[in-house]
Amino acid sequence: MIKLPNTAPCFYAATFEKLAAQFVVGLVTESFGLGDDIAEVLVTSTDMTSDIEAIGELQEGLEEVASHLIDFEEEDEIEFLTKYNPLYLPNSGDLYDTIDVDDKGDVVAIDGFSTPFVVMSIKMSMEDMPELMDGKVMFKPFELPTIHEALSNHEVVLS
Amino acid sequence: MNQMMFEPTKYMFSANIKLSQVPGNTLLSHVFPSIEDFLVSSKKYDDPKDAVLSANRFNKEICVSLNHAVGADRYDCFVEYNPAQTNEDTISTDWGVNELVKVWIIDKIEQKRNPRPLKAVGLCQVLEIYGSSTTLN
Repeated sequence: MIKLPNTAPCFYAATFEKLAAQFVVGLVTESFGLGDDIAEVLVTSTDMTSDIEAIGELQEGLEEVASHLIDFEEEDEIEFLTKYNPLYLPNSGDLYDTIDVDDKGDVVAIDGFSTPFVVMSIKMSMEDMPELMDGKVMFKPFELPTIHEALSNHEVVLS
Repeated sequence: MNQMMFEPTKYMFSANIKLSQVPGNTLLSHVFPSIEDFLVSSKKYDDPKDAVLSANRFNKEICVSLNHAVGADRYDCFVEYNPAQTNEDTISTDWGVNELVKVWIIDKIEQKRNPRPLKAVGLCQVLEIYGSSTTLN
């Protein structure tokens, strides 16, 4: 488990593709968003002091976009996949069971998170349109404990 | 015998609008209240003219939205072409080898206060994407 320093600024980033990208551009310039010129949109937030606040704002924003896409597509099959980095969760069990290692035996991911600075990720997909939206809440880099310390200590630190 | 095939060169634009620098930050803030950057990548075009036209249209529409958001004629865009192709001077000094055009969105009020260096709210680059090679068996 990772213990956060007293001040650890975080921010969120969200990527939109295809229909979702056009819709987000349409929120800014309606006529351009109606065309097919847009391939991808990325929004990033200012630095925030609370990861909980960043997670809440990101989730609400993505849900707002998703609600309009459902109306537009007359599609009710919408799937959200939200994952929290177990390094920041209390009592996550044996994290060694969730690691991916490379050919050299080095840890390259923990439960799919390839960087310890990502706190949570959220993906949204619709039928025939996988990963229309992909959001992440990330901490700015700070000094990390060793990988063994991070995987072994289950102290509660999530704010 | 294997054959090498080169994919044709394509063109696209990539834009970054610093929404956090717009007073009130009202564009998209109703969905993402803490938004800072708004980055847009276009589809790939076969013809560079189509990419430039699309980039210009996008930036003009962004300017209209920004001016509407602040209730004033405050933002404008201007275009620069890579001097390697035109031999004309540009305000921009850093040009990538695959960068054809830059479209800057500027704050006219801020520019009057501080003419140099030019403070931009947005930058859109029209880029050439070199074709990669593919081996055909």
